[in-house]
Amino acid sequence: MLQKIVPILLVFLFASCVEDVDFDQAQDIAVSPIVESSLIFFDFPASQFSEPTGTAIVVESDELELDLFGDQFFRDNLTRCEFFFEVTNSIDRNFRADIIMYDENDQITHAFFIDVTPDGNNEVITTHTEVFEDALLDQLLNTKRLEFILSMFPSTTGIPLNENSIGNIKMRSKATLFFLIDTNE
Amino acid sequence: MKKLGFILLFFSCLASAQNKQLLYGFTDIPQSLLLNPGAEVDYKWHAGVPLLSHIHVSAGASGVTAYDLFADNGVNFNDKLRRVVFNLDRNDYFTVNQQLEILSGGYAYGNSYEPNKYLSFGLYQELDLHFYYPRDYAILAYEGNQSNIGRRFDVGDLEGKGELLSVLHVGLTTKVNEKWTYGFRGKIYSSLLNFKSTNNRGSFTTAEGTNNFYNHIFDLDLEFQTSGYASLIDLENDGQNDWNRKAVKELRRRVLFGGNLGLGVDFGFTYHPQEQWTVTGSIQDLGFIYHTKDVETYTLKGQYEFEGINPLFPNDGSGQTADEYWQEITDTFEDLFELDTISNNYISWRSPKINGSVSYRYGKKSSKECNCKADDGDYLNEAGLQLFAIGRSRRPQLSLSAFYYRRLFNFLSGKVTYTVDGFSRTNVGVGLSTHIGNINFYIMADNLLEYQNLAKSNYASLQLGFNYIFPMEKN
Repeated sequence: MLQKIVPILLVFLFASCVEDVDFDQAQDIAVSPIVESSLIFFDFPASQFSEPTGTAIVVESDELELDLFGDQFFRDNLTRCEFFFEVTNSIDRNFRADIIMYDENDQITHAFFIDVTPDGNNEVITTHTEVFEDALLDQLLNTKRLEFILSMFPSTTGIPLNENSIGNIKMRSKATLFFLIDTNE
Repeated sequence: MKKLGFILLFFSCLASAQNKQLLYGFTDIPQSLLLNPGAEVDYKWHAGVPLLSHIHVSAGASGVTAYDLFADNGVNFNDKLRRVVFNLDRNDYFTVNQQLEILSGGYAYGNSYEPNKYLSFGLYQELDLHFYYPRDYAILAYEGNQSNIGRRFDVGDLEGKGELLSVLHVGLTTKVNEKWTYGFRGKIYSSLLNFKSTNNRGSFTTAEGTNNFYNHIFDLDLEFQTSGYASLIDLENDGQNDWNRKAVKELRRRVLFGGNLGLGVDFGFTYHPQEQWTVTGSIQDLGFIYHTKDVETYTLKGQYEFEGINPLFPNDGSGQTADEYWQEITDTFEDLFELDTISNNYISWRSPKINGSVSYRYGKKSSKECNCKADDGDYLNEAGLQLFAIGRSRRPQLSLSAFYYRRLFNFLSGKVTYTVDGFSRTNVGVGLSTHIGNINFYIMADNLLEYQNLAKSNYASLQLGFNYIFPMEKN
C-alpha cells in the first residue's frame, strides 16, 4: 500500500507542475565556435639560398603528416576551413610556395600555390587565403599528408646569391576552422 | 562602503543544497536527530518503516532554471542558450542530493522514572553531486578562440565531486537538565562510488605570436580522482541489461563495509536560556573517506607553447631532420593531451554542514474544562531563525530561514519556512507531521511559490517518511 502511495506522491510533486516549457527545443541547438590555430612559419635570410650562377631554380621542400582532420569530430562538425598565408619578401627574386595535399593512398586531394614577386630589396607582403568548403572541404578531411615546396626562380638580372646578399623571406600562416555543432545529422 | 561590501559578499554566497530547514528542529520527527543529535526527544522509542522512514531528494542550480533555457516563449533556443552560457558565473553550481534511510530506530533509557538518554541508530544511503559551472570551458566551446585572442582560459573552472555512499550510524542524546541537551553521533561511511576533481590548475591562452600569428600557450595540471568506478566499467557482461544488473549487484555488495571506508561524527545541542527561548546548534558529517580499493586517477599535466610548424628547409644546421622535428611536435602534443592513469589512494572529505537556530515558543493550549492554561509545558507555537552552512570546495554556501511552527491538533503539526539562499530569495516551504495512533507520517517540500511551475524554480526539495513512534507514558 505504502509502496503505491509514495511513487504517486513523487509523480504528483515533480511532474504535474512543470508548465510552459518545451524540452524539444534542445533539438534546435546550434553552436558555431570559430577556432584559429597557427600553421607554418619561417624566416630565412637570402644567404640560405646561396646560388652562384644567378640562373638556377632553388627548390626546398618539407613534408608534414596531418592526421588531425581524420577525426570524427571534424567530419561531423567542420563546415568551413580557411588557410591564411602572409609572405613578406625582401629578397630580389621571385618565389613560389606550393602546397600539395595527399590522401592515405598518396593521391593528391588538393594543391594550390602562392606567387611571391619582389620589389628589389623592399619588403613586399603577399597574402593568400585558401577556402575549403563543400567538396573541397571533403578533400581536406581526407588529407593525411601535406607537402610544402618553396621554389626560388632565377634572377632577371643574373645576379647570384651568396652570404652577403641581403633580404629575407618570411611566412606566417594560420588556419581558421568554422564549426557548426548541432543535432541535425 | 566596506560594510556594504561584506554584506553583499555574505549574500552572494548564500546558498545551500542539502539544507533541510523544514526538518531541522522539527522534534516530533525522529529524523530530526540526524540533523542535530542534541535535539530534544520526548518519546520512548521509535522505529522507521524500512526503506520508507526518510526519503529525501533535492536538486538545485544557482543562476539558472529550466525555464530560462526551455521556456516555450518564442525566443530562439540558441539566444537563450547564449544568455545562459555568458550570464552564469564560475561560482554558480549545480547540485543533486538524495538520501534513503534503509533502517532506523532508537530508544530511551537511563533513570527508570525519567529516561534521560536516547540511543538512535540506522543505516542510510546518500547520493551527493556538486559541480561548479565550468564557465571558461563553456565559452571556449561556444565561441572558439578566434574572438578571445589574448584571453586566459582558466582550466581550474572544472571543479566538482560526486559520491554514492552508505552511512551506518549510532548516536547518543543526553538530557542534562531542563535547560541543556547535547548529543553526538558516530558514522561509518562505506563509499560505493566516488569521483572528485577539485585541484585543477592552469590555463589555455591564444596570444599574439612573435614568429607567427598566434602563440598557443598550454599550461595544464588537471586531475580526476575516482574510486569504485574502474571495476564497474570492466564488468564482464552480455549487453547493457546484463551490465546494469551486475553493476547494481556489485554496488549493493558495497553497502555494508564492502566499499571504501571512512569515519565521521556529528555534534549538537539544545539550550533553553529561558523557558520559552531555545538555542540549538549542530555540526554534521565532520568526516572523511579513505579510498584505497578500486582507485583510478586520471591526470593531464604539461606545459607547451606552440607557434606553428617551422619547416626545416633550408637546413638550419641543427642536424635534426624534418622527420625528427615533426615527430617531436606530435609527441609533445600527444604527451600533453594523453590522460595518465595512476592508482593512488586518496582522501575525500565529506561536505560538513552546520545548523543553528534561535527560537521562541508561546501560546499554551487552553483547557475548556477549567478555563485555564494547560500546564504540561506544551506550547503551541514556535517562531525563530535558522542558519545553515555547508562546506564546499571553493567556499561555504549559506542560507538563512525564518520559521513558524504550530501544533495544529494533537495529531498534526506543521512548519512554514521562508528561506534566502544562493538559489532564490523567495523560498517558502511547508512541512507537515501527523501522528495517528503510533504511526508518524511527515512530508515537507520547498519552494512552494514556484510550485505551480517548478521549471521556474532554481531549487526544489522533498522529504517524506513513515515511522512508528511509541510515546512516553505521561505521569
